[in-house]
Amino acid sequence: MGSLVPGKLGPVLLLRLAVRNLLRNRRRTVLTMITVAFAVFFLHVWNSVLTGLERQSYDNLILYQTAHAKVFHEGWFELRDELPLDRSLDNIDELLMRVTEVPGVAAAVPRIAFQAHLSDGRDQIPVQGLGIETSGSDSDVFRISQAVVEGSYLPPDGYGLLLGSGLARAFDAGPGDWMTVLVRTRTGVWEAQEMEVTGVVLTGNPSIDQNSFLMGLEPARAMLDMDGRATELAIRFAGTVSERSVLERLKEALASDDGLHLAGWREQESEFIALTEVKRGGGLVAMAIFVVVALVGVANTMLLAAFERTQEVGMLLAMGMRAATVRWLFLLEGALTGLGAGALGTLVALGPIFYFAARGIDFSAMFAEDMDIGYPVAGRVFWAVTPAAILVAWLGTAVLAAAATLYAAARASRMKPAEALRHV
Amino acid sequence: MEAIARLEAVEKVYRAGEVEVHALRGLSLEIERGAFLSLAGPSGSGKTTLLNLLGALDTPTSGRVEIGGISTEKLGPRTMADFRNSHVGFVFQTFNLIPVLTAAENVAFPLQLLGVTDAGERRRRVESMLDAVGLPGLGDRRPRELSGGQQQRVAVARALVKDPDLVLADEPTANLDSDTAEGIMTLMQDLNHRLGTTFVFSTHDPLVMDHATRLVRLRDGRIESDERRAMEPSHG
Amino acid sequence: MSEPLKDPVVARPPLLGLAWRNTLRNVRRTLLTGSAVVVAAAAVIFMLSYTRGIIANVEDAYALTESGHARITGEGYLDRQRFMPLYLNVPGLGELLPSLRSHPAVAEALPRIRSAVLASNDEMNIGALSMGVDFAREEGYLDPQRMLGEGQLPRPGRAEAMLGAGLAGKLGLAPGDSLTILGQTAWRSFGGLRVEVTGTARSGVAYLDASLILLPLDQAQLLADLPDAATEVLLFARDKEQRDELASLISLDRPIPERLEVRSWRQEGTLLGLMDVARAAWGFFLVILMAMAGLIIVNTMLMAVLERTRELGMLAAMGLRRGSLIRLVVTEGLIIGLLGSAIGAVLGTGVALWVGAVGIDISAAMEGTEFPMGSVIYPDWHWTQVAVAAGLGVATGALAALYPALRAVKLAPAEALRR
Repeated sequence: MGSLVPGKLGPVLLLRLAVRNLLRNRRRTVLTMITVAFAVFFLHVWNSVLTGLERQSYDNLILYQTAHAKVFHEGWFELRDELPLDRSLDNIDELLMRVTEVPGVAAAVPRIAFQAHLSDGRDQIPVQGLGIETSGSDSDVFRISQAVVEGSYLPPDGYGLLLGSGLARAFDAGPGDWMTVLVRTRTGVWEAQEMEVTGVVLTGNPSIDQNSFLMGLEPARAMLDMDGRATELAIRFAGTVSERSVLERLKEALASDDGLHLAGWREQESEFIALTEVKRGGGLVAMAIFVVVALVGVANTMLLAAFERTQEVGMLLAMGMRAATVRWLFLLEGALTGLGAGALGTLVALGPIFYFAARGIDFSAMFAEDMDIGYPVAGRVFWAVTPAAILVAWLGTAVLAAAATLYAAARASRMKPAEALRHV
Repeated sequence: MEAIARLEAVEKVYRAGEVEVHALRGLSLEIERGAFLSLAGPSGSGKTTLLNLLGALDTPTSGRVEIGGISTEKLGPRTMADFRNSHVGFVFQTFNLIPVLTAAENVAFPLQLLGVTDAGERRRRVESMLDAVGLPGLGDRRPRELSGGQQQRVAVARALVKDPDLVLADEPTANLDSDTAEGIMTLMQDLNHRLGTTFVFSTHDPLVMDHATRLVRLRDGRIESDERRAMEPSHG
Repeated sequence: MSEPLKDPVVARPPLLGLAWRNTLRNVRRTLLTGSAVVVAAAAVIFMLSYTRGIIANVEDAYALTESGHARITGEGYLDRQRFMPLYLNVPGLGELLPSLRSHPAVAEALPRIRSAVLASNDEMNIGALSMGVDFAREEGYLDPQRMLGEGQLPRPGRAEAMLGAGLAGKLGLAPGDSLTILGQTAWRSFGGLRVEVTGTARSGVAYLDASLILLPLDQAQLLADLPDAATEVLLFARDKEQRDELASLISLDRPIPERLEVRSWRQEGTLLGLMDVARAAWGFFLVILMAMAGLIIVNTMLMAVLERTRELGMLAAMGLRRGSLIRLVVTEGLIIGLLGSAIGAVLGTGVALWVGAVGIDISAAMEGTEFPMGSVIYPDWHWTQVAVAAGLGVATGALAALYPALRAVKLAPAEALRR
């Protein structure tokens, strides 16, 4: 039977030794694990909350603002902050047909987004206006109709106004009130029109709630001199398809027409997405401090353990064990401590994570309704369950704990057997 | 007489801060196979240093050390570790058993280090060794469940299980009461006769010195006297 | 039996000296045990200075650009604040301002006119925020002087303006160019003003730079047809301690004309309330941190102290009472906590001061938000933070040493007998 390299131990025995060494002083091992578990717990919770906020934000954006993708006039996208009317789509029906034929597309609808001033007779402010289909097809793509909190949705002929909840509050206006909309048409002429408020919507998306009103597409077209035109075609994908593949197919379907720009929701909200990453970075500092303190605990415990076992290590070396194997033994003990602590912290974190993922936390008590907390989320925030991230954090704990043990392992392996044996 | 270990003009100098300590001064010694030798002398006489050299735990400042036919004075730490692994067994006054392993696992440990992968073979050798030291059936006990004398017997079994050239015992009786000490010495003497293993002791204990068939007294790093005695019949 | 024998020798054992020498004796062990306190204390100091810096940043930015410490506005103006209604204004500045400025608690009273306007050049109209300010007096407050990028400040009495750098960029204007400003007047008609752009401003507050036009107050009064009036008067307190009460102090001592109201900055919206929530969250975080450090100390002290059971047993055999033994170990814990806090304080202060000088640039995170906050955070170190960290460190050290002390004391006498 082949033999191993002398001075080394087989993995089974090494593992057995490491485990038994950890069990040898249960209280100490448990205390160390609890310290590390604290850090792991908070890491999981922080990640769950942030990921939940992000996912909800993206859902909100898709449901109310960006849909899964939009088709614009080619030059519109770069000037999108100004909502230019002169760069608009004019072959709506043909585009609609082409787009809805692409497999993976569930529905598409045209919209007009425009700059306007809204006035209640006393004051006026600049807002965004949205002209939407009232025959029902807008509801195939967006969920505005389900966000009405006062009054009712727009009537089929499209005459009427839906106010974002923030606007309604600012003007102290509601269903039945009349407001004046002041716009500059596509041809540059100033137009004013009075409209009755039919309802108020609350979407959680500040861009809508604080800054927008909605009206019928046909009346908007008439008012803006945009017959047969739209500023965008909003597209919703079918539930189970891969976004990327549908985007690809759409791009192909529209390739023949140079004057078009297709933007998936990620592209439309690239700034917001970048911002969320920066926000994560901020919290990372706090998490890092937790982790460092926890690892200091591991390093301490392992170092003191190494000193405690000086004589024992001396004996192992005297018997001919390689220094590297001694080092592996301690590293393994550190890694196992991290693994156990990670398991503990993870298990305890899973409780609140699953609970709040199902029920959500109602923040509206803490924040006033019109606070922009930086995420388009209203009312309940649902935590996210992120198996991949949880697993990585758990295994990462084992690796980091081993890293924290490096110094102790090095000290132990460098002991001189003759001295160590006689250490009291 | 076949020499199992040989030291020629060995010097060992330690530096303790500004001061140089001459632990061994030009010492020469030959130990024959099957010897039952005791080193004796006051503290600071160099017993421990000599034992370290014999055990390839340390190298001399100058001179030659040969154990089992292999020169060890110029070896590096890893090679010395491998050497100890296969050629030398240790017994210490503090027993130095691994507390988290059972008696049997402790005895098996050197075999693991040697790379004996056959579990059956390990078990056989361990059991035979435990029998030989008078502890049959106690293999599953942890060290803290054994008396001092029993622990030392396990240590002896561990030292011998790999059939070493040399067993080095540093004050093996220091933590034992006289009856138990007597038992241990008788055991080692018995093993010395039956297996022919060479034993070298370092001790203050007259009991140990009494059992030895050769007594080497050290003083100030030199051999003061080297006495051979007739083998004593075992005390009852 | 008369009174129990008092230990003659150790009636008042020199515990402090003994504890001190014990901790010094094994420096390595002391450092190990104390390292957790070092890291925790440094972290506490840095985080406290960081949050103090953030809060100071937000409070300052908010006060200087929006609310002052107290603000006088037309009655009902704040309810319609979003519309910036010019018809709800503060008239009679000629009398009001000197009256306010003469109040002992007031450092400065600054009139401002805010309105939503259209900035128009030949090609485009962009919505902008116009602020008419008294440039001379705003030094040290809105500080247009400090904001100035290119060019120079507008002069009072002249049709000149300063543009936020982002706005100037969008309109393609540079100092020397002309700009037309269209806005509403207080009488709900439209007014216009043609101005020369004299300079660009970088305020450090992201959303302002993209939309701000700074005019001399008299020009804004012309545009809005508001002679001797403003939309708000910001009041700033002389004394930091009086900031919160300034509004009440003013209402008491100065007759506020009808149709005007005074509000304290604390009553305005939820922004400052948010800061309180943030402070609470940080406090919670720090408590957890100290708990972790405490656990680590318990662990390492257990190991260190149990190692010395024999020695403690000897002390017990020599007659040291159990209570004294416990006090000994807890004192060692106190010393470790103190030493650890001291080292951690130096470390944390160093980092806080260094980063405080350099600043943390969060302009990337601030882009796109309408948060009145400067884009650079300067951690604000204060000696009270060291006191907090030291207090926490010492308390943690002592408390954490209690359990090991009790354990050691239980084992000690037996050990002494055994050896």
